[in-house]
Amino acid sequence: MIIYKPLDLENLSQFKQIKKLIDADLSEPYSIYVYRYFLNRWPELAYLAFDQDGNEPEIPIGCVVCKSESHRGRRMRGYIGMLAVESGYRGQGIAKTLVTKSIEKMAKDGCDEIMLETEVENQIALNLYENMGFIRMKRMFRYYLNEGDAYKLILPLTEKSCIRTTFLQDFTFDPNLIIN
Amino acid sequence: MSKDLSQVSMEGLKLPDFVGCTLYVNLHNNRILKGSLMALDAQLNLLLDHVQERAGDGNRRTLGLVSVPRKTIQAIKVPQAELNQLVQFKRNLLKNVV
Amino acid sequence: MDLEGKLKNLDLEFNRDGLFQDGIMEEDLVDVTQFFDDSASSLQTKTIIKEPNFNLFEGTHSLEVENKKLDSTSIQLTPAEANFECNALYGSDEKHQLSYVVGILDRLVRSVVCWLNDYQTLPTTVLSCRYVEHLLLESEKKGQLVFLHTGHPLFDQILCSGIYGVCYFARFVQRLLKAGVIFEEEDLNFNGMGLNFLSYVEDGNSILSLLQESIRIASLCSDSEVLIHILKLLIHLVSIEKCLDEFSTDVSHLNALIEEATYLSQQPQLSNLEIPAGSFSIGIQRRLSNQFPPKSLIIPPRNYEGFIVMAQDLKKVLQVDNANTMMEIMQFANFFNKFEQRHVLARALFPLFLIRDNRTILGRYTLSEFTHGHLLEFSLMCTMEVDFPPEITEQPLMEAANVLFEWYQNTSQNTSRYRQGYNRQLLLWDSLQAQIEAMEVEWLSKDSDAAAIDYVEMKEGEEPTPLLPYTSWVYAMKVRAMIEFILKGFDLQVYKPFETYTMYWYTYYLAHQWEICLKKVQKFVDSKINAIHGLNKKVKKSKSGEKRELLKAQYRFAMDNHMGQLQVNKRFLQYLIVESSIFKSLSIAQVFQFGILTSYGLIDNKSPAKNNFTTNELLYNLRMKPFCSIGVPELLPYELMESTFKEFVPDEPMFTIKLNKAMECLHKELNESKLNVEHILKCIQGGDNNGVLVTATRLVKSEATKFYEGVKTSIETLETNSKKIQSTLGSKRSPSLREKYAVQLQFCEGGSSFFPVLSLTSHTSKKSHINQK
Repeated sequence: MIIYKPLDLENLSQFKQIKKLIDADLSEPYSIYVYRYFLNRWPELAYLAFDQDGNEPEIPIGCVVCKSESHRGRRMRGYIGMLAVESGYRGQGIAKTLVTKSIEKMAKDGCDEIMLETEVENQIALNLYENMGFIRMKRMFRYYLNEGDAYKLILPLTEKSCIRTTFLQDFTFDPNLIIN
Repeated sequence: MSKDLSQVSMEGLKLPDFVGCTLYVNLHNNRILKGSLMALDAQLNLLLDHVQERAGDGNRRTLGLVSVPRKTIQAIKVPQAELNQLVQFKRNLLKNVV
Repeated sequence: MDLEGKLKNLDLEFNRDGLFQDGIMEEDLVDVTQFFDDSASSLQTKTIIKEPNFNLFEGTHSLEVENKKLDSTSIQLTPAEANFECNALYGSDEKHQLSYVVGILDRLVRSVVCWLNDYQTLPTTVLSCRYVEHLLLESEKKGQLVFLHTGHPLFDQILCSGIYGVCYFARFVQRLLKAGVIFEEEDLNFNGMGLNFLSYVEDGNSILSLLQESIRIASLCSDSEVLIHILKLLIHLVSIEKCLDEFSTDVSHLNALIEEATYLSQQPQLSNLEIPAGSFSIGIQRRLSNQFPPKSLIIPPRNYEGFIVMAQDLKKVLQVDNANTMMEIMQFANFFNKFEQRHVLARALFPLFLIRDNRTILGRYTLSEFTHGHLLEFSLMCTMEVDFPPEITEQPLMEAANVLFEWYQNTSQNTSRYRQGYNRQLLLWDSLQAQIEAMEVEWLSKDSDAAAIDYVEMKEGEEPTPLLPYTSWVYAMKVRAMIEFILKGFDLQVYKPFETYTMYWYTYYLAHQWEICLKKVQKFVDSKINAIHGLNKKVKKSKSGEKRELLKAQYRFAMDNHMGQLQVNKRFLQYLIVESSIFKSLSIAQVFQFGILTSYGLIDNKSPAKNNFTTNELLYNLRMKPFCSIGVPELLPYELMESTFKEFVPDEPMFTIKLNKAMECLHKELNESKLNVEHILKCIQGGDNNGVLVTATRLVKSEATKFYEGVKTSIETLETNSKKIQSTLGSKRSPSLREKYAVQLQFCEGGSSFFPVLSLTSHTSKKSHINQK
């Protein structure tokens, strides 16, 4: 059975495995500090999938890495940065569950919207996210350089997501509101 | 020959004091990086900025922001003068706190 | 002292200032490795030590030691690459030497095409040539051009002149990039590796002289025809700068560039040329200061045709100089980059050539004259405001000019940025409208003479409304921008099938608003034309004498100075009205088609997503976000948009009758739009003297034709698609249809990407959704 838990930063092998899972998939290389940026600041938004019945139940076989922070001081934006599932475990809905859990957490934390970028040609990722309600807000020319264009996908969680930032109140003036 | 710690005082210094310091990091193949320490994690993977590199063949160039994994490091060195300054600074700080 | 001793001393001397020439010697350094290791071992695993104000986000762009993808020092070079000697004479005899020089220049020149046409980086293309790196470094040290000393003019003169030709051209490209009209990285990479691209060379003339001299020397060698052609090609590349320096419209260099490129593309022997080993490599990424990750060498294919595209697109841009009217300039901008994205240099040149450094448009108009001209060719002719003094009109014209320039500059952008540009522009047009409307109303309320206000009476007996010519123009531009923003989204495949209803319904709504505005302005123009005719009648009726002469003079004046432009405006407005009609018809046809498919249960205007994270209302509001702040035309709130939907979905009772009605409406709209498109196509082909429509597309005839031909093909495809859907589904609805079919938006061959087709696809032909990463 697959179980899901947020990252335990004290567990170095989890950190290393996340890096291994994601580096394997990427054409764009990430340094250690990309992982430190996301995982050390937002460990609670990194979900890991473990196969309890597998050979190494302590080693994650899938992960999703996210962050959430204020967008131009006007709304809270959650961001899905990376997602990877070991090839032997694909096709079982693990990625979908990982993403769902991270969105649930970010929604609970007060995010007004969730955003991510993905390649125009990545039909699998597009299907995954669009079946959750994400819509394409923008197309970016050669975002991935030679890999081609990208779509910016957004899932609106609250009304604030639907108002232009120029017309939203700047909540950095209100000390009662949470700012990252 | 660089000095080792038996010859030098590191009194009161902790890792956070070294942030912002200029480090000279020896890597494999006679490669040396000089840069400002911006961050480090518990595994001693360093993040250096304004990095200048001197390659094994003597070629010198600027690299900018560089992540230096612990496993690539042969030695980390700090200029004596800078170290002395740090010790002095820390001493004064602690004096004022007390 | 012996040699070894001397070398040892040199070594010490080298180290005298320290390893980094910072005065710090090895003995000044304290090894703190153990201290670091010991301290770190007592830290919690999750600890990050850093400056509190340092944002780790900055670290995400770092290189990484010994990471092959992020460490340029780890680049492996062959000995030939590492030790390449630029001052060596390669080739055992003149024949081989010539062959090498041709090989090097040929590859370098083809690298330029990879760089610009294929969006590759500078270090992996032009800068991968060792000679380029060497000569630029050495020349910078001296502050002037230096030459190789291999001993043979083939290398020392000819090769060097070729290298400098390419570098000078690169300098021009850098200039275009610095002007800020295109986007770095996205449109063009100029990672110059810190090299100075001939800033000490005053202008292209010295480079041209070098190249000419090289041609002279080359002609003394045997079998040097190809080399001479390459050198000539370089002369023409270097001369492109004149388009910007002098705003020269002399296309002889561009034509010659095409000729040379054509010739070179047909030389089979160029495919087999050898180059000295190591003359091209990614070594520069390892040698020079470099904050970027390593990138692989680009080996250019046979791509001389790339220069033909470059030259043709540049020639196209220069044609805007032939415009006789503002609308011709506007239509040029509208169509020159619309159908196919033009070469990056042409797209960069266009805004710089049009809106010049000396604050003129094409060297002919001031900025406010340019804007004023747009107004005159739309709504301002024969209004009271046309005679307002500059003290009053200058400020609003300049405000309007700023937004108009955004519009022009946007037409030159890459296909994705083009749509994004409208997103920004909408706010600008909208606030400009508010500003100008307030201003116009103020002007007119100041004028005590009520007859001075221009009114339009749309229908007889109806209350006349003020024309507000400035506001009408801004409003028309704004609404047209909104329409373009939506339709471009279909071209970029931004909308999912379920969003088709909303986006085309909204396009219909906007096109309708646009049409109302256009017709109002046209009515006014008509009234002015009629007034002039009326003058003539008065002349004929009046008795001879002073009064008659006065009327005659008035009539003469109006005929000579106003009638021509009024007629042109009327016909241009008619063209726009026909276009709005086409947009309306096609949009509503899509809406009908969507409704029909919905009635079969094959699609819905709601998101198919099955979770509770969001709602259809939020999705609608997000999608319409760019329009939410615009007051007029008003954005429909979600419930209202929802309520329009069921009108388009045939249902019981009498489902079949309603279905057929929907089909009828659909076909009627398509037929009408087809006639309209054919009408426009005829008028484009025939030119603007056809007496019916003015399309102002004289300078972009083929591009405009292509666009409307595409629309026509889309109409035909929508027609056949609709019939196909009917015959496939029949008139019996059944829940099993859902399992068999899905609906996708598809582009059709030769059709306009603004109007993709809602086509039925069978489920078995689609990939399973279940497969994930």
